[in-house]
Amino acid sequence: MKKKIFLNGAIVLFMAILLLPAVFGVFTRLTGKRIDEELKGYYTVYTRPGFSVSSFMNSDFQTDFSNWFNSKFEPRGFYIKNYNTICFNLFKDSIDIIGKDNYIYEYDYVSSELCLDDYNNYSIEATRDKLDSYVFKMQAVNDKLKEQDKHLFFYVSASKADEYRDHLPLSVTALEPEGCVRGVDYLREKLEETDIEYLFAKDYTDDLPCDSFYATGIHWSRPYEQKIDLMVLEKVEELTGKNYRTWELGEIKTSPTPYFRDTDVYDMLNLRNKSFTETFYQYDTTNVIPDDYDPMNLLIQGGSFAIGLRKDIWDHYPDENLNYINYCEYYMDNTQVADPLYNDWNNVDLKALVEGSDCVVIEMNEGVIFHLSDGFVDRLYEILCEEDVQ
Amino acid sequence: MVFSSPVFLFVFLPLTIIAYYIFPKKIKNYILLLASLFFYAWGEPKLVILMVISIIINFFLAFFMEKSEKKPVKVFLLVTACVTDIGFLFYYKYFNFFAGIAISLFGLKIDSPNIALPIGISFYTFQIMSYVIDVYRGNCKAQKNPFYLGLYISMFPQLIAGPIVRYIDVETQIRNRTLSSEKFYEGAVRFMKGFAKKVLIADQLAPFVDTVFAGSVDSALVKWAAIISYTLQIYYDFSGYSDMAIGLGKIFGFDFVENFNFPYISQSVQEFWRRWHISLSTWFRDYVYIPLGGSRKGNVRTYINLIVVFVLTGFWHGASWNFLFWGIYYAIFLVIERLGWSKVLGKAPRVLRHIYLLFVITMGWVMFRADDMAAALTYYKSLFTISGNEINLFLGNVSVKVLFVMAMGILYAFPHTKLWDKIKTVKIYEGLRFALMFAIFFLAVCFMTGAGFSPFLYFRF
Repeated sequence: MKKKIFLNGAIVLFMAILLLPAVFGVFTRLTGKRIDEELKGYYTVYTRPGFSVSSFMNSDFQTDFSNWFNSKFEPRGFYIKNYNTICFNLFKDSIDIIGKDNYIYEYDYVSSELCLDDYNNYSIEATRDKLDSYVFKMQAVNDKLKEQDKHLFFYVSASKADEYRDHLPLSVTALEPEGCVRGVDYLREKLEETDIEYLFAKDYTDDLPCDSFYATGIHWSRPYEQKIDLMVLEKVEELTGKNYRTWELGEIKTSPTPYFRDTDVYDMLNLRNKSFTETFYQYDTTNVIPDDYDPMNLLIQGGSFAIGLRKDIWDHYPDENLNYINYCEYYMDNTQVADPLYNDWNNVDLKALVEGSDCVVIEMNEGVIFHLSDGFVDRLYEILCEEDVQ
Repeated sequence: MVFSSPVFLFVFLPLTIIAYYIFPKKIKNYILLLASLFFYAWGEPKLVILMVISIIINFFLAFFMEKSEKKPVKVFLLVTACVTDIGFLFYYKYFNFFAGIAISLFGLKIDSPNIALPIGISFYTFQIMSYVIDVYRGNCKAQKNPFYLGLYISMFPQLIAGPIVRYIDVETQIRNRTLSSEKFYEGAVRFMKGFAKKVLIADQLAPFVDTVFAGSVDSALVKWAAIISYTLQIYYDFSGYSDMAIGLGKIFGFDFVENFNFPYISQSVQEFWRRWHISLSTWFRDYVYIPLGGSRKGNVRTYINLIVVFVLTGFWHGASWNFLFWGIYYAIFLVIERLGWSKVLGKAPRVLRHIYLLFVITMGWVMFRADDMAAALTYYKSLFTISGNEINLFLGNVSVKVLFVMAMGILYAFPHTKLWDKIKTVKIYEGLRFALMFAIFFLAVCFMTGAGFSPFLYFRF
């Protein structure tokens, strides 16, 4: 009798695991409430495919159904969090690189810091040639803009892998090739040969009230970001001779809960346990509004670090005229609605945007120098320089 | 649909089990047949017809073979069946290979035809051939119900990756089998075990092996780590699948043959092939080696028979030169062992015999895993070429996780019989065994779901 109870109990448990998604799915359908843990980050969302004989016969239905089910079943989030937590705690294994003191790095930043890929190693001639051409075109664009009484400002945001190189794990530092020449160093060397106005954020980490990067964020800490964003605006003011509305950095605030993107990369790991005990910082700010201020007319192109600049400007002055282009992914104006570009510069009227701007600001992160601004400078060169020649 | 996928585990399998147990005994075979055809059609919606045609042809040929009392007719029907079955297999699996050879040999300027390989065709062709041959030999009676024969061929637990079930082994089970809590329980435990072997060991080693075999790392140490990992990966993948198939079979009331018996504890190549993919080895033994004369016709003939069998074994695994050479490689070792090497080995300490076997096996897997023979030769060379940066490359490429999984894989590749015998004396052994297996299965479900989930920081348009 005892044995029968045991066997049946074991069978019920086995079947329970198999049937859990069906039971939870029915519950969700009836109540509208998902019994699952929420996952952080963006991932592809699939829609439930409709069945047809033809879609089944060419296997589309099977692929679509599998994609939909795999991304939808409950308790998927629960299982994923268990998996991530086990791998992180047991092996320091995750979608990202986990360094000393649980410092989390994304691969691109580490690759550029350690020249792990040929496209990040500027001791290789072919790699150098690409950056040479990029800087050459940027210089030409700079000259053309000056002719039109417009300006170009270029800044290189910092990389966590550079700032916290000593926290990188041995599993990646061991792979650094001999004679590695980093993009950030070669870029600086090339820029010094031009009269382009530029700024390397990595030169301004002194006097920060906190770490420049937290273990948990791939972006810089807020005080560092606020400091650099303000410096960029001041540089642009200098260049254009305009008098913008700006702000002052005041007292430093601390909080156990993150500001803005302080735990962005940690959140993506979707762990069950909290593996950090950081204190997060942010400057209080006070608006500075000159009586005779000029409106901003800026075209900003860059990656996620430039989103910080955009945020800081619009947080203080939502009416300022900014045109922001993220890589070649999307375009955003004051409406703050992202307009996708699908990696095609023909999807945005760059010429009109340049004409409507006083200054073009290009942000490039040390980790993605190999992106070469995703063709933005090439496109400006085409518009401003090549069309002129023709 | 692979067993280690959410659609199989959470949709297909529970629905099939429930339908199977709800319906009365008379209908169970039809439920299982329907589920199996759907399972196959999920992956091969068009080529499921090929399998059905193959079943129908073999059904009638075996049926008339049994009816006929004239030997020449029987022989003719058997030959027709074998030619048809091997013809299908040849066309879908080997035609491209031989066409490629013909094109290069004769300098033909035609495109090699692009024929897709139907999933599991090697397995079900061998199953169906064993059926007609056994009917011809009188080892079993021809099946009178084509749906039952269809069930034997298409039964989803063993359809894609074996074991190669022989008709004579399941003949009576198809007609009459018992279902019980004990059997379901044993089946569930076996399935969970196989699932864990596949997901927690094989799938965890696969990315590392793939990276190294892609050729990006130039380090002998890393290459050794990768080939040892692959040795473990292929064992846990394949034996995991067999465990799942055997377990599912039990859940549906069947007893399938065992397919693996701790092959890596072998101390000779002969022993290895008695422990590795047993259903394939015995198939070749019974339907090729013994009909060729086996070891009864003198040494030379035995060696030739071994070479024939192992050329076919290699070729069965895939239509390319490296599989062919892989088969020949084993044939050579088997011949050498028969020539007297096994006697020399027998005198050597156990540990040396074991090292010998593992070395031979591991080197063999290089050929098996490499994309082609040229890649295999490059890999062999790199195994013995020390670079100046070995330690760094090892640290950079072999993660703690890979090392841990390798250690687990090695540990679990041994039977630990004495330890288990001791544990079995514990009163609550069965409860502990289930609890442990259930926990491991749960972990494997987490790993299956979690692997590959890689969210973005920002929305991608």
